[in-house]
Amino acid sequence: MTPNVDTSGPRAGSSVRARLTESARVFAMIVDETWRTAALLILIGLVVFFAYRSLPEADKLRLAHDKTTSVVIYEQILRAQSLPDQDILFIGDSSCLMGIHVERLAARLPGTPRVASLCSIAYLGPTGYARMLRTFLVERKKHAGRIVVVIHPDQVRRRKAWDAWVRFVDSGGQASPEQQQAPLALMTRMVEQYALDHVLSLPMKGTYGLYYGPLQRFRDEVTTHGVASAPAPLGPRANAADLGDAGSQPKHCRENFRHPPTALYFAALDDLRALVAQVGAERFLVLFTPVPSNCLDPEIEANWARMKPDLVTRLGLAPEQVIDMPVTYPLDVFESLTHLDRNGRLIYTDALAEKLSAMPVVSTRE
Amino acid sequence: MSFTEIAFFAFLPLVLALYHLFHDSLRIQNALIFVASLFFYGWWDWRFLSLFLLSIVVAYGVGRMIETSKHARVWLGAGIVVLVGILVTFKYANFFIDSFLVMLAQMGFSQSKFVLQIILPIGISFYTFQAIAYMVDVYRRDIRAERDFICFGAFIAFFPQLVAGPIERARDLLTQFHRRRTVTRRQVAEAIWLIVLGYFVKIGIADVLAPHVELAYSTRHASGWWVVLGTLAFALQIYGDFLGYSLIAKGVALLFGIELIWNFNFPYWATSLVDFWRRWHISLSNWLRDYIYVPLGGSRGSQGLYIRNLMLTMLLGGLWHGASWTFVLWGALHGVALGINHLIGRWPPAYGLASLAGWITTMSVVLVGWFLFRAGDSTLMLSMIGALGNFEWYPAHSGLLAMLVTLSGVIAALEWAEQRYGRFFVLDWPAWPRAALTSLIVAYIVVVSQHTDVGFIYFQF
Repeated sequence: MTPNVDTSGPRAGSSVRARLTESARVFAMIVDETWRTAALLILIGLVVFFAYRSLPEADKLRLAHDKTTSVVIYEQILRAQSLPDQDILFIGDSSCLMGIHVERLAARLPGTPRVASLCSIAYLGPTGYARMLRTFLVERKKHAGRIVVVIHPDQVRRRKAWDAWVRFVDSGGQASPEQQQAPLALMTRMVEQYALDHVLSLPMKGTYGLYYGPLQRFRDEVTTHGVASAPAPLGPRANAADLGDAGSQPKHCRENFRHPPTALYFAALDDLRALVAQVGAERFLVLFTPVPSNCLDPEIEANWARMKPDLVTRLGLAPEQVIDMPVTYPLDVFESLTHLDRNGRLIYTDALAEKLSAMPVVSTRE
Repeated sequence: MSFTEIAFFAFLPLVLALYHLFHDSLRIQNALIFVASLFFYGWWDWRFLSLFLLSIVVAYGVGRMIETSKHARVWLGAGIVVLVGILVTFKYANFFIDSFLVMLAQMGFSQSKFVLQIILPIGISFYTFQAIAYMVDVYRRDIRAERDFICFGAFIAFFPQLVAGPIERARDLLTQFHRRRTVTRRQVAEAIWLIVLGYFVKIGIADVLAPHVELAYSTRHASGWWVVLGTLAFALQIYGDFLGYSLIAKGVALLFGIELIWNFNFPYWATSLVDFWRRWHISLSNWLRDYIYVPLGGSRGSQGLYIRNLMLTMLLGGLWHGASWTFVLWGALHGVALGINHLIGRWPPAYGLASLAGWITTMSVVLVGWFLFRAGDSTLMLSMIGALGNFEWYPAHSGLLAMLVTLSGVIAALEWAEQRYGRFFVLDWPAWPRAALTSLIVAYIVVVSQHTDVGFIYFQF
């Protein structure tokens, strides 16, 4: 019950050397206990360092891109460099990336043609799409029976800042507008990706994390199929405020869809027109993707009635090369103003398959 | 300061070197621990040092007065009122004000919003309970009142266990500050293993699950699978987080030649709820038993009184975790389940399939409890319950499931080995295989720590 109190001060005989000896003794024991571990850690570090150095440049860049936008564009750059000949090739913005299920489409078309997507985001715009098509069609001399250029009305608001993403494509994925990781972080990411991928899944933030989990799952879908799924849960919308409800028009539609395309957009279309002319306009189709039904008003309808033929003409295409699909779809199949949800994508893909079935496909298998 | 801060890795070797430099003077060593602990605490927010010191002075003075005064009971009461008063003011003031205002609103009285902007001093629940236990133990004459203020200060403030326990008893910890402490080679080996293991379960298990749990408990539109898997992930996260802290604390203390108690004893192996509470946060369970449950009458008296005592104890245990009705609900759930467990006695028996049934039942209660514990507010809780109507499987679920199976498997294998071969079975391995295991663990921690920046959950309590 009574503590054995020892309140003695420093002993008379104790010297600085004795004290240092005791302190050193404890640290010597710690070092003796840990030096082997430290040595092995250095060895592991060296193995990782040399493994990283021996990675192909494309894989190093892949490790560096960890945001959805750069992942999508970079993977599509690589796909443009590796895809085989296609019967139908889609190119366009994220309404295409998230709104067209290419595998389902291929299965529903007669003869199960080869269908692929190089769709990415609106920031690339027609100039960026032309760069990717040039890689596939001109530099690699691959064939595409039909090339469908997909345009969402939101794409025509092109801004100067978006050109950074065109430069990203020009640089082969090196000049990313997004922040890059230091080499040390890339090495640890390499270990995660190659050694821990199946047991360690650190999710992305927000709805992408909820649906996909880790970035790698998202990347895999883009790499394999050239598409992505709208991640928001089905049912009540997480971003309902942006979409509005059936009775009210979203602010974004009111403020942005009543204006004609920007001059920058027309200039970008000219880049794509040059490519169209080079590879043959007859192979191209244009698809305008839908907006939610509550988005339209007479002014917007009038604006688009003028704008869409203008865009087609500017590309050097004929009006009959526009795939005649509905301008609007019901609000409840949208995840956002530009993206159909996962159910909406299936409905839209089936409707698109019907339309394409009626059009001749220039097969590459003959 | 936190064990996961870079500053800690400079702080610890420095304090350790100075500490062992003065191996021949207990008084200097204790003073060093006291000062270093105040620095450790002040690193987080120096303004709360005065509050912390006040609690130490009150507990010290009251302990002395209990021993020397004829009015020991009065002094004990006064000491408890002051310490609990500080705790209630800083931890529960807004909770009680909010609850009162809601009650007024429901009764039809208009009310203006009145909220005190009070920051919760870190570790206040832990050191307050440790100080109260000391005063009660002196009152019960289980221990003598401490005369040496520095020694007492080192006991309350001992930095490895200051902010998240274990809540140590004076007879276990205070007495160690009176003994010469020589660190042996075996203690160093044990300390390093505990520290490595602690960081592994904290960073390598709890922190990698944290973003999943954050997603599962932050959305109002979660699928049912997110609720189920997110709650399983939280069960593993909170265990890894708190176990990790406790192991690091124990390991660091050992480097000073001081033994802390084991705060966890394989709680997820429990086959009954009574068993669970003997294994989970043992220092708090023991505290609640000795200073709340037993003084209330414990299991003496009628069955009704017995159940009442259990309920009150667990409700207070819930409230100890934080000022929220979901913590109270969590305590109530455990109180009810413990009451049922006591009433049905030793059923199911602890062997065979019955033992498995007991484990499943226990874990079901524990998991429902963790759901209440983590949900935090009733709006999110109800929304998540609503999400149980939608069991759409996302790609994310496959990843999380694989991760849960892997991490649970690792923990289960480790704990099985510890139970079979002893807590320090790894130390019996030859040096190089042991170093290989340790280096793989450390390499894994380094890799995953790039993505994790999560504090210790129990710091908020």
